[in-house]
Amino acid sequence: MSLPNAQPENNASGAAAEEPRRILEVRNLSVEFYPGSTRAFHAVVDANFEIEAGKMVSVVGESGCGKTLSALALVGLTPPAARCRGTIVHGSRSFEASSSALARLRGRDVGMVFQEPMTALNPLFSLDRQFREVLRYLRGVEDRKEARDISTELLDRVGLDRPERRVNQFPHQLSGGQRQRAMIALALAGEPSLLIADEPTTALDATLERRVMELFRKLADEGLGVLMISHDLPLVADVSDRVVVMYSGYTVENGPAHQLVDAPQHPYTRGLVASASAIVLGDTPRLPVIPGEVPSPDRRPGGCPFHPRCPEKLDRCESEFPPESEPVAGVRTACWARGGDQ
Amino acid sequence: MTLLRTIDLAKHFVLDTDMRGRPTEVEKAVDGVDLTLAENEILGLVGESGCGKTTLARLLLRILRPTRGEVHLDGRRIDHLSERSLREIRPKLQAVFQDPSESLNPRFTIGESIGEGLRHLTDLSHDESRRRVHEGMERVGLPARIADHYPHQLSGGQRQRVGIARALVLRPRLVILDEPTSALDVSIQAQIINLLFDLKDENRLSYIFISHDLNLVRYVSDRIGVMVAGRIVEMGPTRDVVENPEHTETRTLLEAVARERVAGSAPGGPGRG
Repeated sequence: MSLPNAQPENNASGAAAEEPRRILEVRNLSVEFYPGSTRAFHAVVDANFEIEAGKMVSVVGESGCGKTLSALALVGLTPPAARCRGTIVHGSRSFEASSSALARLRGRDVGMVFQEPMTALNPLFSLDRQFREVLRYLRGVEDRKEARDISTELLDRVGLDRPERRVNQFPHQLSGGQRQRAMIALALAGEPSLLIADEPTTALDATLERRVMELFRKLADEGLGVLMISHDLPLVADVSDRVVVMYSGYTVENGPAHQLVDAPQHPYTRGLVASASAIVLGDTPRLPVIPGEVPSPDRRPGGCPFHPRCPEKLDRCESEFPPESEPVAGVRTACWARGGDQ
Repeated sequence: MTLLRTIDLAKHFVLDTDMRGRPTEVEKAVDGVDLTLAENEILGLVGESGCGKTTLARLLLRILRPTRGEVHLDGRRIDHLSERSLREIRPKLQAVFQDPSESLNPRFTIGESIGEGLRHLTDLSHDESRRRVHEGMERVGLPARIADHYPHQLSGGQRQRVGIARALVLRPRLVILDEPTSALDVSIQAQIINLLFDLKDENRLSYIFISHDLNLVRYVSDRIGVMVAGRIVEMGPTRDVVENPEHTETRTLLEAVARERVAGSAPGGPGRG
């Protein structure tokens, strides 16, 4: 299963001199709901990941795994009932995860793109006017002509055809894919160094989905850091540099994208990849499955939350969550069966 | 043996009329579809959103009345039947929809939801119905105790099993599966696909499998039909359509998924990183 002598990713460990600029570092991020009460539970436990300029990192997992909350926590957008802990380093500035100062990063340092572009755009205003508002607020652009030029340029950058005409249009005049591109352009208006995209293609067709993903890749190649949240491992693995796999609040694997699909380490990632590749190969009468159900975070089994569904379960999996290990260079995983006891 | 056949089936929606009520703008959602489906066969329908897949499904289920054309089930023409005569046919034609949380009545218990069709469409006694419901639940892997639960107490995967059980208890011949796994978690999708295969083999069911996920359609279907703007532009055995696509639309769809690499499936090529 493993790739012999796989090239470790450039920045997998430590800081060396010639590295690209690190724009985000998340250390021991936890998100707890209703802290102190009897129904308290952790939706995210000890998440650790980092993003360099020019890199695209995807956080992948199923509903309730904590992927969206992890992203929202980066800009202080978690719901009021949640308490965040840990450290979030944006560029050279370090923040407590609970700090309200994180909100000030929105737009200027961190751009955000959400799932459904129709609910995020104002149906009553032309794109021009929506851009003007954002540009005035984030960049102090007062001049209409200037705002218009910048908007046209942004729309062009995200691959919208005839941007100088599109800029006059209203959201309902755009197709789903065009709307999502317009949203991405709007997220870029504050010239952020990091772009967070939460399932930006779920409302789109397979063909469009693909093209929008390629746009994010292009933006990363232009120097932006991109954090992609998705449930679709095969889709994002193809365009990402690194993939972080979450399961029920825990990070179970974090490695270079191609290694994650070619040689997955954690039994959960292996199960996902096995199902996906069996669908593509199509030569088995039935699909390999991960048995059982996805646990909800408030009724998570103890120890490693994946143990009731795991084909490689050991005794200690029921009682202790495994520490992170590096069974293959550059791949961090949390699994007792992968040398979690080193 | 042919189970289902349509001849020049069409559904046109009138969007606008002139002052005398004559249509001036018509949306041809389905426009001249001929298809056949054999017993125990799975036909996959693919196409981008808005191509008419779901309208076609509704015509086959006779939720919509066709503008023109014919639908034959088991050699009997059903498109022009009255609601009363359809009552006999309905159990044979069932459907499973995309989002199980929206297709289940939140005020019905699971047992009531699964038994609803039996109450309305069959003359089974109360006890007989209950037995069928329990049988159906067992068959799709639902524990008997949740018959008294409500939909919100179930997981997404369980709710989709309820949707399948509800169709199955009526002993259908044809089940239309409209994106049956796209609302489910990735690790649950494979379970549901396997279940659908098992049920088909046990009961000699035929499926029409609608999805925009071409990889999945390719895996599941015996034959594939590609829809563009209300018409089936290409239809044939899965292998032929996938390996020798004749229509540009099919090629575009194929290219979109071909580049998604998963382990062992791609002809190599270094990934990024």
